[in-house]
Amino acid sequence: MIPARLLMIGNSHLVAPRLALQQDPARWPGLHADFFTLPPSALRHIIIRDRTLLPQNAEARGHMMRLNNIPDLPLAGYDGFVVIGGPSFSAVTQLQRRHRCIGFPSVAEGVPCELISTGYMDAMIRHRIRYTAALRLTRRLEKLQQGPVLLVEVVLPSQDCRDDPERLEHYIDMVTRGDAAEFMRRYRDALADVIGPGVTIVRQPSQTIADDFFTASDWMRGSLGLGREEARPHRERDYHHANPAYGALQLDAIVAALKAL
Amino acid sequence: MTHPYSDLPPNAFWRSGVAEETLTPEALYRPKFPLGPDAAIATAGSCFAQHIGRFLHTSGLNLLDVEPPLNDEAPGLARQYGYGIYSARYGNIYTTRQLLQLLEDAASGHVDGDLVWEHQGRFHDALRPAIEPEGFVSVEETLALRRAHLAAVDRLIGQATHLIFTLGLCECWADRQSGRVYPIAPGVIAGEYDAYRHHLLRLGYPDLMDDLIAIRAALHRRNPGLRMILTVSPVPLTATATGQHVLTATTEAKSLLRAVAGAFAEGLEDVDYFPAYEIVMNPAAKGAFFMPNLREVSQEGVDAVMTVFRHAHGIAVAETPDAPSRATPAEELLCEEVLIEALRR
Repeated sequence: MIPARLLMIGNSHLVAPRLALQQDPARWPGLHADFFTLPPSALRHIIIRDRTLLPQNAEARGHMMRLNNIPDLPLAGYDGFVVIGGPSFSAVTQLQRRHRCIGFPSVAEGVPCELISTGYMDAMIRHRIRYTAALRLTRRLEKLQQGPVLLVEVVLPSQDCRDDPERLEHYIDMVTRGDAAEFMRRYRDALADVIGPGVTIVRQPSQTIADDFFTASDWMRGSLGLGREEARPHRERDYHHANPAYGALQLDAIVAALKAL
Repeated sequence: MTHPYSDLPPNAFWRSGVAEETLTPEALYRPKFPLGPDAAIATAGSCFAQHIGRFLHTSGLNLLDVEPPLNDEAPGLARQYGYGIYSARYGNIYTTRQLLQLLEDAASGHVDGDLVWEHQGRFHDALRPAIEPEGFVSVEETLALRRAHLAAVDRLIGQATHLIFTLGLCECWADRQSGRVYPIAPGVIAGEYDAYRHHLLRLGYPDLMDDLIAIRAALHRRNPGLRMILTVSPVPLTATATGQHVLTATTEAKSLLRAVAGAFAEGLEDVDYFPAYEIVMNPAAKGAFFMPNLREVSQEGVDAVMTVFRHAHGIAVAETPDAPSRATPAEELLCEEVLIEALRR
């Protein structure tokens, strides 16, 4: 069942599903959602007090007004929450830039690295996930016990980044070395471990994935920015944001996940 | 009438040097050699050595770390995994024999596949069992990380200009067949105690002296210019398996360590003794340098030790928050030894 009043909350990754819903609301009958966006730095500085989302500092307050035109957000009327915009697999993979553990195929092949233990690598992955703004927000929303809480996976980097290796060198190297599958397994285990059973993870739609660890360019090109930038496509070398067509698939997945609960 | 004591300075007399005067750093310790701006310092030793490492780190000296953590975003987590505590991830080195064994292994790259302890499906390096809080995932991983560790220790000795080593204990547990010594008795963190295989080894004065001579030789084979600063940990034994009362065992151990450290340093220009032990045990402190459990050293005691060291070496004062109160414990140390008591029946 789709909650009657759904709040979708997140960072710039929220723009794609928001525009998708604006452009074609009939595709998701019964879906009524409010959207609340903040840049990551401000998302880190909001708290929930008396079932109200509040900014903790002037910067977060300024972004709330600028992007949402509200000084705070009462949550009491909502009966479901969707968090979009973190943690990001590609960001967590920075951990394996130089350090790897023994389960990585490249370690078995003798590729030089700083060898660390599996336990330490996994603990660092959990730490990186646990302290993302999105994860902290997700846990706080879960504690409200006010309906289902969904955490939507951040879209994998665009396959276009492979033609621009400077931008995501650590990620492309990981894929080239053959370590990506192992790291993704560790990441997903850690994510499930950190969020626990009370939150549903919405995976990236499979038809958008190219070569297992990238998003096909068609779902990324033409992504739009947050706030005043919303009318403008992201700059050409942005490989992290999806377009409204991808947002529509995200909404399909969100609705399916809600109905399955 | 003159006699050999008539012209000695005030600090040569107990009344004027200790009972009636605050200890002055200058009088207590005159370094044999400086810790200049070019000094590249390695630290190792028993738990108390962690205070020295922390002080050196905050003082802006070049404290070597050849096995740094993955990054600096989770320092507490890194410490749980043995990072950032000493100059390499060897954990606490309580005895001279343990240090000698490490140096020999680092020089040869020797890894003993027999020295892996199992506990609840995970595996611990028996020679540094506490560095992985949950253990390694396999024997293979344990040994691979040990190989990498030994290579790092070898690099450390090659890079360092000074090694500060804090002697902690004389008693340790050893393997009868191989002669290998462990930092903690088998069975405390992992592994199984086997009375036929494992035995209590009590290092006496000759053993300790021979170990120090061999340690210096091993260091100089790798790095002839390396200097050593020896200290003795003032922290009493958590427990003793010698059959003695723990108080007499502590006194015996610390006396041996103090005597051998002093005697060893005395004749050598490249080895110095720093009196951390005396500063903390000084009766004039009236017990203020110990916490109520009479074992842990208070922050005040650590500060007193480091003030003497800082003055003697001309190290600038680091910016610190409010001065700690008398009852403030020094920052928590990671000591396997404490587990002996924690896990007693």
